[in-house]
Amino acid sequence: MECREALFLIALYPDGELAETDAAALERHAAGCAECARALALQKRVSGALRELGREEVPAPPGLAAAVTEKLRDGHKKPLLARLPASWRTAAAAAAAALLIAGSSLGIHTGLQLAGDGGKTVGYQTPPAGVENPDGGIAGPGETPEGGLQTPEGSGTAGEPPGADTSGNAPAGTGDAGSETQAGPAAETGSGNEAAQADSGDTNPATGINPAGNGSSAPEETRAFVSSKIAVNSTLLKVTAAEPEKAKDQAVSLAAAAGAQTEVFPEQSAGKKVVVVRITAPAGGASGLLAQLGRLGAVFDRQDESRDVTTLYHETMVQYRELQSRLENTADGAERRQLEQQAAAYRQQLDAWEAEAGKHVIMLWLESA
Amino acid sequence: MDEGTGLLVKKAKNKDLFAFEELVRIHQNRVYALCLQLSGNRDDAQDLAQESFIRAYRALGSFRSEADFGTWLHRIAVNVCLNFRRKNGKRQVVSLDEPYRNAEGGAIRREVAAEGGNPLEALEEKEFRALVRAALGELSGEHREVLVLREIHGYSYEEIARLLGCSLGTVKSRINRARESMRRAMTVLARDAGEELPAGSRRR
Repeated sequence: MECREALFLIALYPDGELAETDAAALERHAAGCAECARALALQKRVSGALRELGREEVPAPPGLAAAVTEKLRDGHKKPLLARLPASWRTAAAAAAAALLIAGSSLGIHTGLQLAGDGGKTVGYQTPPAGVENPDGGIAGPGETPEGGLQTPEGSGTAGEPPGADTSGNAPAGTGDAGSETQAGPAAETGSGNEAAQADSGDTNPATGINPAGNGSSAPEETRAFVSSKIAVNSTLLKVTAAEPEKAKDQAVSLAAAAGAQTEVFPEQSAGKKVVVVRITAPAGGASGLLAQLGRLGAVFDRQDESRDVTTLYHETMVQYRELQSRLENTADGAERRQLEQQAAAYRQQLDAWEAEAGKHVIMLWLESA
Repeated sequence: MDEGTGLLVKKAKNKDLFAFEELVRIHQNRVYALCLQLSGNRDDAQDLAQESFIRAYRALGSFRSEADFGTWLHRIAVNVCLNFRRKNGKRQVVSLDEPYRNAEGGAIRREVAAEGGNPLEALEEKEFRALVRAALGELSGEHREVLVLREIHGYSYEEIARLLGCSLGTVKSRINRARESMRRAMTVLARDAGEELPAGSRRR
């Protein structure tokens, strides 16, 4: 056998598809040819190493999941609005805008420190007029019915109803500049939570448009708390432990001792049994808890992320309210159930953010060593 | 949210973006790893991983709940990566991750000395694997793809032929050449790194 032929066979070797005679011939050649012997050995080792690479996880860049949601959100919102019955799309758009305002005062901003601002709570900065509304769904500024958005007398927002409309509804138009154009949410959302829930029934267009409480606020004042944020800090901690189940129990009791909430869910990853424990810890106790959790086994990955969900929170709130108002106008049973399901998911997410704001979420990933 | 993947998938099918985001978090490392293997550089890998998840979300309707979500996601990511390379085949991205990147075909032109019966064991497993990763980055897109699919993820020749839309014969010879390039790249890298691996092949 010549080296050239041997090399050809060596390349087939890892597939285990060499005929016995070929394999034997190759071995014979390699026995007498140091170079081909080394090539064969190298090929075996390379193939083995490649298989090992398949079991490796490479930490995804931080923010990947958030970026995916961000992108999907833009495509997601349009259909939601587009599914509204055409007859009251316009009204709904106006209602949603008003609800954002009303909701701001009643719900989102309740827990806000208003910096000596009394009850004046129009929390958004008016975006540039003429921001374009995407096709298909909602009333453009010009189409907003005069009566749809009842801006109170003397209100700071009265001058620019189109702007107000846009800030409440445009799915894509204001998204990027979100944190600047959206209402500033509560830094402390504990009390806001209850208020928002209490308020959530009040979503009928007729009653929703009644932002009397925020009428006297001037735009200059409203910008004062645009900088308030809902930030969610999270850490993904991956640990290999001799006994993941036992480590899970320890993690849960450690978390409880630190005053944290836990949820456990089993997962499968590449055939390995994995336990994921989701821990919501008070911000102050997180670092200590993380150190304790790290001692449950060998830490092989850790990703820290701090995410500003302010914009997302507000947009979700608007969508949630839309769903609520659609619910009130839907008699069809099947459609109601679907809407209820969606609304519940949104509510759950809003609750989760409110619960997590200012806290530290730890995703503890335990896998067997 | 104390549910497993099945429930998350069900919710995501119902357009629950937050359930889907949980799914993304659970699977992102593996998908990203795959995209990095197939693309050979981090910038593309990030875009490709994002795109894969977005496609997956839109295709959720076609996901049958008895199937394995991770496997399904894996296939989507493979398709996204292969399509991307097909569209951008001519473009060679030069990145800091792959200082040895070579021209079309991935052939490393420097000749390799084959002497010095240097044992493979000289490299520890970890170093060896790092070298394999680097060598993979040096291959042409075509060669890297087939090796990643065949050797890392265990796709059969037939499956690869179907994915790439080429004949079985083409796949076989491409894998064959890819393995040769790989050994050559390993040898060169090892030498450049001051180690001496035996020559994979001196002849072409």
